[in-house]
Formats: sequence, C-alpha cells, structure tokens
Amino acid sequence: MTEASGFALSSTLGLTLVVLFGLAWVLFGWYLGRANKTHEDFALAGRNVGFALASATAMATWVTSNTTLVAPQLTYQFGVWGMVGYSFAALGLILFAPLAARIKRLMPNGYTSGDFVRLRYGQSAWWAFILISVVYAFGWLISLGMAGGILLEALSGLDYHIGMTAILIICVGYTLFGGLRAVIATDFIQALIIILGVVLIAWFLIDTVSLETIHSEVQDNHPQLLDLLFPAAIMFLFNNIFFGLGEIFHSNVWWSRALAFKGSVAFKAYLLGGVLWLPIPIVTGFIALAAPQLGIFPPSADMVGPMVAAEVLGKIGAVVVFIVVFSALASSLDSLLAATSDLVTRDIYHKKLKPDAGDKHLLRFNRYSILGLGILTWLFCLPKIATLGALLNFAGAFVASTIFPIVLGLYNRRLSGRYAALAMTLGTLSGLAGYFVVGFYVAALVSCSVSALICGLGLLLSKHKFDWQQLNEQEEHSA
Amino acid sequence: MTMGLTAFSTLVLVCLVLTACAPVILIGLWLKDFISKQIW
Repeated sequence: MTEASGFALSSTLGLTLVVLFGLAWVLFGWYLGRANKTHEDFALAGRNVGFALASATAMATWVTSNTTLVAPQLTYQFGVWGMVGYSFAALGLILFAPLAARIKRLMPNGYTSGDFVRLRYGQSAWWAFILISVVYAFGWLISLGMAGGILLEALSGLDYHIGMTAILIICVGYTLFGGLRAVIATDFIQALIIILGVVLIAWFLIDTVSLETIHSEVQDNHPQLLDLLFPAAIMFLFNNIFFGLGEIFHSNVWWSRALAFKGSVAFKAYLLGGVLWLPIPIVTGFIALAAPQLGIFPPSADMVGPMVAAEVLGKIGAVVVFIVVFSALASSLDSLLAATSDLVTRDIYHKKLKPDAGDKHLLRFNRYSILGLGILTWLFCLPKIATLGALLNFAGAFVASTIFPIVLGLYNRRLSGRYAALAMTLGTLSGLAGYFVVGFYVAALVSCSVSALICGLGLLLSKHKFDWQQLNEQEEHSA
Repeated sequence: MTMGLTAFSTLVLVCLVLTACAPVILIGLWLKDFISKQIW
C-alpha cells in the first residue's frame, strides 16, 4: 500500500478517475445516440451490429464483477477449482451461439426474450419467466452497483455509497443518451481496457512473486486450495456451469444482442466471445492465490483481487485495477440497464398496458425505464446486504430453471406452455430449497435438474405441435 | 490429489497468452469491419 492512510489510492485520485471516465462515457454515449431515430434504433441498435463490435460486446458483457472480483474471491475460497469452475461459464456464451442464430432466424422482428416466451408458451409461462428475469436482473444490477462501491472503498477508502452512486449515475447517463448503440460501442473499448489491464497485472505478479513461490506457499499452508478432489469445489464447478447457462439462455441481455447483430453474425460473435472469455477467470483468479504469500487477509473475500494487485504494483497497480474493474462493471451494468428496460417497455408496458403506443412514445418510455431502474438499483444498494458471490448464487436457483424450457422451446415443437411454466416454477422453488438446505453451490444444479425432469415429462405426455410461424410477430405502430 | 507446479504453471501461462491475444483479434476484426464499412 502506498498511501499513508493505508489505501492504495487517495480518495481524491479515485474520485478524479471516476469523474474523468464518467464524462468520457457519457459524452461518447450522447455522440452515438444522435443516430437513434426510432425505438428499434435505441433498443436494438438498428439490428445491424457488425462482427467486431458483436464479439467484443459478448465478451465484455460477460466480464463483470464476477470475473474481476468474484473469480479471485472463489479462488481464494475454493482454490484451483474456483478459477477453473469460473472459466467454465464461457460454455454459456459458446453454447448460446447456435441458439442466437436460431433466434435471429425464427424471430426477425422480435425485441426481447419475453416476446419469445409469450409467443411460444403463452401467459402462465410468461409470468413465471418475467418473475425470474426481474429477480435475476435486479440481483445482477444490485451486485454490480455494490461492486462499484466496494471497489472504490477497497482501493481509495472512498465511502461505499459515493462509489456505488457514481457508477450508477455514469452508466444510467450514457445508456439513457445512446441506447444499445452506446452500450455496444463502449463495450468494445471496455473489452480492450479490461484485457490489457488483466494481462498487465498478472504479468507483473508473476514477475514479482513467481508462480513457483505462489504454488509452494499454497501447497505448504493451504493445500486444500490445490486439491483436485475438493468436494465442495467440484460441486461448485458443475453448479457454475448450469448457472452460467441459465444466465445467458434466459436473459434479455443476450437475446437483445442476438436480435441486434447483423444477419449471419450472431453465431460466430457468440462463439468468438466465449473463446476469448474462457481464459480470463483463470488469469484473474490465480492472483488471489498470492494473497497468503503477500500477507494479505482481506476483511471481505471479494476484495482479495484488488488488494493483491495494489500490493504488488503499488499506486500504478491500484490505478490499473481501478480502471479494469470499473470498465468491467460498466460494460455489464449498461447492458443490463438497456436489456431490462427493454423488457419493461416491450413486455410489460407495450404488450400488457399500452398496446396502441406509438414508436416515439415507446422510445420515451424506454428512457424513463432506464432512469427508474437506475434509481431502484441505487435504493437496493444503499444497505450492503450480502457478499457479491452469495447474491449472485442466490439468483442461480432462478435462472437455471429456464435452461430446458428455452432450449426445447427453440428446437422442439412438443413442449407445451403448461409444462414450461411448471418446469420454471418448481425448478426455481427446488433450487431455493437446495440453496437454503445444502448451500449456494447446489442451487443452480438442483433447479436445472428438477426443471429438466418436468420438461422430459412434458415431452412424453404432451401432444402439442407448435407452429414456428407464430414466433414471427409483425409490428403495428401508429406513429 | 493436488495440482503440481508444472500443471499449475502451464495452466496460468497458457491462459495468460490466450488472454493477451484477444485485443489483437478484436482490433483486427474492427479494422476489417471498418474498411468494408460493416461496423454498424
């Protein structure tokens, strides 16, 4: 630590970085937003995003507080399986690639994942799905807002509430001005910043401490972290795979991108994004294994990554960590704000409350939704309610129940709405039971298994034959 | 069964090299899209 206060950066420098980055992103968002003429431009970037931006946004959005703060936290708790397990979340992006291509083909005029569930399964499944989506979106939004506050506090001693408020204001600002176009363009730059920063920190850590020293220290004093048969860690590995699949397969963050990418881009962009993401949690995670060697015992496990980097690289390291985590948080927060506001605007407001709303009206409402979501998130973030990992894994019980209903809904005509609704509801309830009775590391696993069982039963018993044409809903806008 | 030094070092170094390649790939793709006017 370089400052006399015991923090790597002074509060003034931390706040200056936030203000500079904030201004840059908001101005860039405003500049890009000038091209948005319709609601479709704002929500789906005109459905015309090219391969480079598409791949970068897939990768950058998936690099979140999970990867930069929680991957080191889980490595610190579960050792090698913690970081390897985290990297397996790349499977979500890779396996979503064919789904994205099919979504684009089946729903050329679609807007959201909610559109798909409503048209494919009907009302009861839609309600279950929207509830899951809202719980997940808020869980993620809150964890990202909290991560902003934790980061600033860990690195500069700035009050948690100031950091959390700052990152929310910045992301709401540029998403409000630029819509999905701004989100995707900033993601490209943020992706480059994240990768270069992570590589720089890892390189300096290896150069300073060496992999041999880290390994021997862990082997002598914390051998369970290198244990390949660590039971809870193996359970975590499988749980994380299903959690990642559930997160991506159901969330409108990924559906809206699939619908926004140019015709043939969706498949290859998700595939490349996943492959580029795969090694990142291992690079960020192994940093945590150096903590005992450096005499770092963080007050909260999710601070371990930033604290190690700041210790090894001093002030410059702290600035790099700060910029990397800030970019990672922003690249996910903006995506989530945009995608959730699309769900609120399209699925709830337009389809349920105001079916005759015109294009300009929807565009205005979408902006209000972003603002409203930002304020709600801020209110939920005010009390620091849980560690980031615990909060995210709670959401695993919800999202893993959607994996089979989504995949079967896209590829199989026979699964009916009744079974899909039942699979999502009972899957979620069982996952929550697993979370409270056994532990967070089984929530997604239990939820997905129960949901799969009900879907299997549905396929056996159902005589339903869905007509794919029903997914191609035509739009009627009054003005 | 614990992970040995060689396996640990190889895992970390391979992942570090792969991560370092990502910006080159992304910038290359962006240039290709920019030249062919396919960014948006």
